Amino acid sequence: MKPNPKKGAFSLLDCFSYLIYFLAFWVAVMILSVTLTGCGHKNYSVDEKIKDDFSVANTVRADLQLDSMLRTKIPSTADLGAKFDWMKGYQTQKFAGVFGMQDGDFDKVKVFLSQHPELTENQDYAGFIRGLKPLYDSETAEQMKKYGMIKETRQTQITFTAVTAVMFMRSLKHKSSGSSKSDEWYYLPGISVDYNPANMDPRVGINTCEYVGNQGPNTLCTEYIGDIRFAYLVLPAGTILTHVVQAIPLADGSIAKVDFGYPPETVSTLPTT
Amino acid sequence: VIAMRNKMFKAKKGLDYYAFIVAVVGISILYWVLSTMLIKQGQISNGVTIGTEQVTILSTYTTGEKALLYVDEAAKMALDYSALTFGKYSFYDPSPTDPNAPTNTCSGHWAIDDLKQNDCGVVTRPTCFPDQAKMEYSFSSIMKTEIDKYIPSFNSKNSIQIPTNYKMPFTFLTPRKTPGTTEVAGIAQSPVTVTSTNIKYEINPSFHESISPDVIADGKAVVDVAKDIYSKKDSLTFQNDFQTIKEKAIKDSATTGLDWSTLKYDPSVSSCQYPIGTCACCQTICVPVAGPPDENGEPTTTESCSQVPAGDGTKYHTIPYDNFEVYGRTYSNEPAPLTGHRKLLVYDPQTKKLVLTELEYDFALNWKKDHPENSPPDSCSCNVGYPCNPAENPPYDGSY
Repeated sequence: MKPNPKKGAFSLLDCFSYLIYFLAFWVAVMILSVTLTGCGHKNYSVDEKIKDDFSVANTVRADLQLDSMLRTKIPSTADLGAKFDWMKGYQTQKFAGVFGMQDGDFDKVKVFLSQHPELTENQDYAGFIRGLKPLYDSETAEQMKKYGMIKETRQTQITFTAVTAVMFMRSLKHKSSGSSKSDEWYYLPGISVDYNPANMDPRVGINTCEYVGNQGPNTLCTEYIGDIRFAYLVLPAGTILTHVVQAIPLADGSIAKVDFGYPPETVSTLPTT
Repeated sequence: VIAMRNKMFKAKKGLDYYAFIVAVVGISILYWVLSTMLIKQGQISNGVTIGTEQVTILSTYTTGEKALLYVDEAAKMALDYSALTFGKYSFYDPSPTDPNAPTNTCSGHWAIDDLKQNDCGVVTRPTCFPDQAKMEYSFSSIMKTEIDKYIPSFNSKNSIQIPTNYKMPFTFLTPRKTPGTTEVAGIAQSPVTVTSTNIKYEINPSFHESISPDVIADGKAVVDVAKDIYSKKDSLTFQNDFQTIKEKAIKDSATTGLDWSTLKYDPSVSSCQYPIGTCACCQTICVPVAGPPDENGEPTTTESCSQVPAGDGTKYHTIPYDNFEVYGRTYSNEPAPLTGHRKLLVYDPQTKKLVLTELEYDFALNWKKDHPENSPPDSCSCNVGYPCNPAENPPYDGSY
C-alpha cells in the first residue's frame, strides 16, 4: 500500500488546537488556584480572616504561672514580718481596704504565724496551703458549733490573704482617660483553695470565691473582701479571667484544689496593619 | 462498550465527544490534585485559627506538669515522714510492704548475741546492724508506702493517671549536691500518659527531693558508735571504755551534726526468764485421818500433811542484759524557731494536725551477760504449790 504523505502530518490546524487546549488548561489551573488558595483576596480581608484563639494559650500560660507560684518558697518568718510591716504602713495610703485586710489584721497574722511555724518553715506555697488545712478545719468546726453554719474563716482567711499578698502582689501602671499621669495599682492574683473539692473543674468568670448563699465563701480565696477586681481595672470589655486548677496532696491523704484566675496579658486579636 | 465507543468516536455522523470528555476528566483530576495540595491555604479564605496544633502540644505538656507537681509535693511530704519513721525504728521499715525490703528480725535490737530460737522468743544477732544498702532500701520502702497513700486522691479526680511504679530502692545521690542533706530520686518505671487529638504525650513521674540532714550518713555514724560499744562489751573496763566512746562521739558531733548527750548506759535493766528444764516443786497436801478416841470413846479425825511434787516444775534461768536506750538527735542549723534539734513536719493522725517533730535516731543495743548453759539455774517456779528452793523470779510469760 502506498503511504499517504498527508496522514499524520502536524498541520497548522493541529498546532492551534493544541494551543487552545493548553490555554484552556492554564486558565483552569489559575481559576482553581485562586479559588482554593484565596489568592485574590486583598491584605485587609485576609487579616480579617486569620483568627487567633488565645483561650488555650492563656490556659497554658496560667498553668505554668500557677505551677511556679505553688513551688515558690515561703520567705522566712523575719522576711514575712518585715513585709507585713511595710504593707501595714503602706496600707493607709495605697491599700486602704484592699485585700480585705483591716486595721490590726497584719499583726494578728504575725502572731498566728509565730504560733504555727509549720505553715512557713521550709515550706513552699503549696506546703503553706497544706499546713492551713487542719487550722481551717478546726476553725470551721468551731463556727459550726457556735453558729450552726460557717460564717467566716477569719484567721485562716486573713493569713492566707496576707501571705499571698506578700508573695504574689502585682502592680500595674494605670492611666486614667484624659490624664497624663499614671498611677500604680496593686492587685492580688485570684487564688482560691477548696479543701474538699467535688471535682477538678476550674471556675468560670471573674469570681474566685465560691459563696454559699449569704454565708460567705466556703473556700479560702484572695478576693474574699477585696475591692479591686481585674475586670474593673485593666481587662478589655468582654474579656474574662482564664481559670486553671492544680491539685496538691494533703497530709491526711485527701486533695486540695487550687484555682487560679489569670488575667490575660495578651490581646486576643492580631494587630491590624 | 466497545460498540458504544466506536459509535461515539468513529461515527462519521454526529458529534465527536472525545475532546469534551478528556477536558472534563482532566479538569476533575486537576481539581482533585490542586484541592488536595492547597486545602490548607484554602481554609484561610474561610477564616482560620492559627497556632492550634502548637498550643495543643503545649497544653499536653502543662497537663503533664500538673501530675509532676503533685508527685513532687507528695514526695516532699513522704520524705519528712520517712526520715522520722526511719530514725524511730532503728533504720528499718517497721511494716514493709515491699517484699524485698530488709526486715528487722531483731525486734528493734541490734545485738543480743546469738541467742537460740527459743531463748526468750527473740532471735537477734549482731548482723542486725544495718549497713548502708539496708538503710537505703528501708528508707525507700517507707517513703514508697507513704507516696502510695497520696496518689489515689489525684487519680480519682483527674483524667490522667499517675502510676506508682518506681525503681526500688530509690536513688540516693552520691556525692550529695548539698552536703548534709538527704537527696532522694525516685525513678518512675511507668509514664503518665496525656492523650489529645493526634497527640500522645508520655512523661515519667520521677522526682528528686531533698531534706536536711543526711539521714543515711547519720545512720552510718550511729551504727559505728553502736558497734564500738558492742566491741567493748566483754572488757573488764567497760564503764571507762563506754565513757571514752561517748566523749569521742560528742567531740565528733561538730562534723557529724549528731547530738550524743543523751547516750546512756543502764546495766542489766532488762532480763528474760529462760526455761531450761524442770525442778522439784512442792505442795503440802493434808488428808484427814482417824485419830485416837476421845474421853468419851468417840472417834476423832486429824490431818496428816505431807510434801508432794506439784506444778509443772519448770526451771527458769534469768538472763540479764546490758541495755542501751539511745536517742541520737541531730542538730539543726535552721533559724528560729527551728534552731536546736532538727524538726520535721509530719501529720499526726490522732490530732489531725501537722506537727513539727524532733528527729531522733532510736536504737536498743542489748547483750546478755552470760549464756544460761554456762551457769547454774537460778530460779524455779511452780504453778501450784511452792518451789522446794525459794523462787527468785516469776515464770517467763512469753514477753521480753
